[in-house]
Order: sequence, then structure tokens, then C-alpha cells
Amino acid sequence: MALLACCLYLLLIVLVGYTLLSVIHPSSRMTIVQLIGLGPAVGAGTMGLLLFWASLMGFAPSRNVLAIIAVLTLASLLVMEKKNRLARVKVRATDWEKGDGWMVVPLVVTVAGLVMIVVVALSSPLMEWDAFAIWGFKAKVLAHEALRLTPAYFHDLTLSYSHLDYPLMVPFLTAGAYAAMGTVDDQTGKLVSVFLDVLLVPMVYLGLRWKLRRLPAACLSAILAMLPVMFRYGGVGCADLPLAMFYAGSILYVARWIDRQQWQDLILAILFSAFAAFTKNEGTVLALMNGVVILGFGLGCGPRHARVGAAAFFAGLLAMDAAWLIWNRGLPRTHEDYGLKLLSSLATHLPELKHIIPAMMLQTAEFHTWGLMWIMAGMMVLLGWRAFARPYVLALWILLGLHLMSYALVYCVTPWNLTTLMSMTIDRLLLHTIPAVIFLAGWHWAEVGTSPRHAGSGGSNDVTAQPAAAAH
Amino acid sequence: MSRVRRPSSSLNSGKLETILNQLIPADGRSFRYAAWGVVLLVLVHLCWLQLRPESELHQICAVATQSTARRAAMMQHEQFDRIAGQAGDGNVLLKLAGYAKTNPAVENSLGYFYFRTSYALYPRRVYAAPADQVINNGRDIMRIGFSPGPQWLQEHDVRSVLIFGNDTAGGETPRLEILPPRDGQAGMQTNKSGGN
Repeated sequence: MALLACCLYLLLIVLVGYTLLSVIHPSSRMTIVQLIGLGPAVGAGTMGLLLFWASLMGFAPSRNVLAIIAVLTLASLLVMEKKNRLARVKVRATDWEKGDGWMVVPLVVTVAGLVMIVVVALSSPLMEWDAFAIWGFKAKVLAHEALRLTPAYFHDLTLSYSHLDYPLMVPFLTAGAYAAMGTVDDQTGKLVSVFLDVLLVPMVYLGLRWKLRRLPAACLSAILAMLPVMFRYGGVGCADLPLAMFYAGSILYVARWIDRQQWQDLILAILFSAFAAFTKNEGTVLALMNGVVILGFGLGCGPRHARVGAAAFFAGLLAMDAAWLIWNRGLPRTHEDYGLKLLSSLATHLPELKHIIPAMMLQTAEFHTWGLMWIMAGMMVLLGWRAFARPYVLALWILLGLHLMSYALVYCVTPWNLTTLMSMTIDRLLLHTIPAVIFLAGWHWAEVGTSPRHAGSGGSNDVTAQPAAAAH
Repeated sequence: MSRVRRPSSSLNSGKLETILNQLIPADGRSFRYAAWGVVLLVLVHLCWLQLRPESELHQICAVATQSTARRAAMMQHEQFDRIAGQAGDGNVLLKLAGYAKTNPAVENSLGYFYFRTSYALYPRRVYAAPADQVINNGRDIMRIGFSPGPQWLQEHDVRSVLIFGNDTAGGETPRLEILPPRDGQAGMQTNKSGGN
């Protein structure tokens, strides 16, 4: 019964996402992967924020709150259906290209990997330290009390180990599952965690399909699904893979905005950046980097466009995360206050970089964690060097560089023992960069063997949702 | 004299003209084969990595199935959760005894015990320090050495004590002691349960 309730909750998340996508891309055509990847990702982020806002108003996650969200979602779907504005799923045999039949191989590998992650996740309760001490604990608190009168937990320094100021996306989504089930069952509740984790694969596939044909995109997605680090962190109940998943969406749509300047892409870039910022503190920094890159590259399209796009991005980001930023401001920051430490003592700790950077580089050569993925990415960059001519590829390189630099600087000022901390966290932090690395591998691959004039133009179909009218 | 031809804005839309893509010819087909070769090699290598007995996949499968590894991994969780379940209503005091008060070797297991029981018991509380003391790890709990009086226990609705470490009674870590119902007397000795 609990499992059924949890599945219904996930279905609601999918419906919320589908509704939002239909609002953003009215009357558009969606691929199946957009339906099972992009829609649920948007739905999950939206549900997390909705539950947070409701909790701020005094309503802890409950079946009533979920029922209201469900009714509003269904009503919106009905209205859009009447106005013929719903996104439609596109499945046409004519879209298939030569060689796509081989897709069954990477597809089987991907599904096998993901099924294994799901089965293992659901066969045990929360066991990872961070999973129960940080994320699971917060989920219990949020399921139990609304945020309107800040629960005592958030000011209890004896629970400082659970990082009182960490963002609440994953805890709220888990608390929503507890509300749906009517009980705190962390083993069944892991379904939410594993749902968020495996969404990374279709999100990355979508980004790859933007520039690659189906088969190479599926092969790179299979590589992601089979990474040992995915098995290590998939379904354990931590927020690292959800952050990577939302970050994948944000950088994909930042890149698309830079390439095409379509407002739908900017809206999705804002949504995913806001979701990432509400998932982990790293996400806030990554969201700001997205905005800076949008501004920087926008300047190349004319100052007005840059100003409007960047202003819209920052305004949207602030509007969505303002409540969190304001509410979170009063929480105690004990032990780890990286923002303050970076501002106050970075200069004195910079020499640590000579240990940190080599350690990060060595980690990429850990075959038992990453396989040969980093080497493959390097090879693709060399073979597809022409992709450097693409602004969106350059933008992603800059984002990846900033991302890695920010983590290196955080390591510089950490209050923990650096050697111990790096050995415990470096694979998890590099996991956040995986979407950018695989996108770069794929987008460089798209330029392999192309002539200079046609570089990148013949690689694949675009999976952008197209207006139905334009398709005929 | 003809003017130098500059790329038009439409030509440049979507990509930058660089010195690289003007000058270097390439055999496209061999590059494409090379790219495919690299990707397939990586995919096969990853599959092979997961098929090895010591792979992440095998390890988590061992934990997920009814194996010795699973029992070992689950035993500690189940033990701590069971102790927390026996605490009944009311809050719990975490008390260190014997070597656990000073031995740095137990910092890690003490921290784990506190984190796990705090999680399992919520919304009831495990008190290991006054609310204004920061606890980030087991060392903090040992440093604080919290030992409140009966009045404090009563005010905070503490009805049982979790003892971590050995004591004069020869008990081993961890175990639970239920406090007697309060009738004006302080004390913490009756039912002993949990632990091993």
C-alpha cells in the first residue's frame, strides 16, 4: 500500500512536469525521452518548491496538500486540452535513421544499470551516513512540522552535524512521499531518491541528442549509466545525483539559449538553475555561474539582448529562490560556512591548490570509479576540436572550468582535514561535473570528421519541441 | 583593388570563425571511426568493470541480498534502531561511560551512534549536549561530556538513558536504561535492554 501511494506521488510529479512543459511549449511535440526525462525533472523541482512554499505558509506536506496540487494540475491539464495547448508525444517511424536499430544494445545496458540501481536502493533502508544524518533527518523534520514557525531542529546546534542550513529540495520531495504514504517509511521513500537519481540519464541523453544522432547519444548515456560512481551514489538517498540532474538541465538550456536565443530555453535554464540552487549549496554557486555565462555570451549578440536575457535569468532565479534565501538567512552556520570563509581567508589558503589540483586530476584517472570516461572525453575533444568554434561549447567549457575552480577553492578553505575530506568527497563532487563532461564529449563528437563549413550541422535531429503546426 | 571579404553576420551565426577551422584539413571518416572506437572501448571496459567480483555492482548486490555482507552492514543499523525503538515515549539522554569518555578510538562509532539514534528517534530527541553546544562529530560529544541533573532531565522529558561505552557494571556498548516514572525522586536504574 505504501509503495502504491509512493508511485501515485511520483505520477503526480510527472503530471506537474508535463503541465509545466505544456505551458512553456504550448501545442508542441515531445519525444518519449522528453516525456520520461524532462517532464519528471521539471515536475520534481516544481513539486519540491511548491511543498516548500506551502510549508512556509504553515502547511506541512500532507495528503491534503498533495490533493490540492493534484486537483490544480488536473484542472490545468483539462483547460489546456480544451484549448489544444497540450504537448503531444511524437512517435513516428519516419524519424528513425539508418543504424538506429543498434540502439537496442546501449539501451539494454542503460536499462540494466538503472534497474540494478533501483532494485538495490529499494532493498534497504537509508544506510549512507549523509543520507540519514542530513537528508533523511531533514525529511523527517519537514514531514512532521511546517516551516512557518521554524522547527526547533533548525536552531539546535547539537544537530549541527546534519548541516542545518543545507537546501531542502530532496528532503521536501521525500517528505512529500511520506505524506502520500501516510507514514515515515524510509525504505519505500527511497523510491523518490532513486527516481531523481536515474533521471540524470534521460536528461543527459536529451542534451546529447541535441547535437548527436540517436545511437551515439545512447552509447554515451549508457556509459553514464554504467559508471561505477553511479552505482556508488545512485539510490543511496543523498542529494548529489539530484543536483547533477538539475544541473544537467540548467547547462543544457543555458547552452541552447546561447545558441538559439529562444525564450523557452531561457525559462527552462532559469527553472533548472533555481532547482539546483534549492538542492545543494553548490547549486547556488552553479546557478550564479550560469547567469554570468549567459550575460557574458549574450554580450556577443548585442548588448540589449545580453541585458534582457541575463536580467530575466537573474530575476527569475531570484523570484523562485527568494523565499529560500530569505528564510535560510537566519539559520546558524556552524563549522562549514564556505561563503564567509572564501571571502575572508581564501588568500591565505591558496597555496593548498598545489595539493588539491593534482589530487583532482589523479581522481579522474581512478578507473574503478570512472572507467575510462575522462580519457574518452579528452579524446573526443581532440577529435572534435572544431567544436571550439561553437559559442555554446565554449560556454560549457567556461562553466566546467568555473565549476572545478569553485570546488578547488572550497577545498582550500575547508575546516576539515583536507586529505581526509578529499578522500571522502572528491568522487562525489566530480560527479556533479559529469553532465558537463559528457555533454562536451558528445558535442565535440558531433564535430568529428565534419568539414569546417558544415561543422556541427549534420550530426543529428534537433529534439527541440516544435510547434505542431510547423511540423506539418 | 578589391576589398577584403569579411564574414557576414549570417555566416557567423551559431559559430565562430577561427584559425583552426580554416587551415587544418582532416580525414573525416577515420576520425569518426576513431571516435566510435573510443566510445565502444569505454563502454565495454565499464561493463567489464561491473562484471568483476570486486565491482561496485557486486558489492551492492551482496549488501542488497541476504548475504553475510548484508547482515554485517545491517546489523549495526538494526541494533541502533532497535534500541531507539525500545526507548518508548519521551526523550533520551546519551551518556558516555568508561573508555568512551576519553578514548579517541571510539569517536567515529560514537558519532555514528548519535547520528543514527537521533534520526531513528525523531521527533523524540537524543540529548548529548545543551542546545547551544555545537556537535559535528563524536569528538565534540566527548569534549562536552554532558551530564545533566535530575531537574534538567525532568524539564526535558527525558525518560531513558542510552549508555555508550563500558561501565562498572561490566556492560558493553551500547545499551538502554529506562528511567523510573518520576515521583519527585531522581534516578536512572531499572530495565536494562538493547545492546550486546
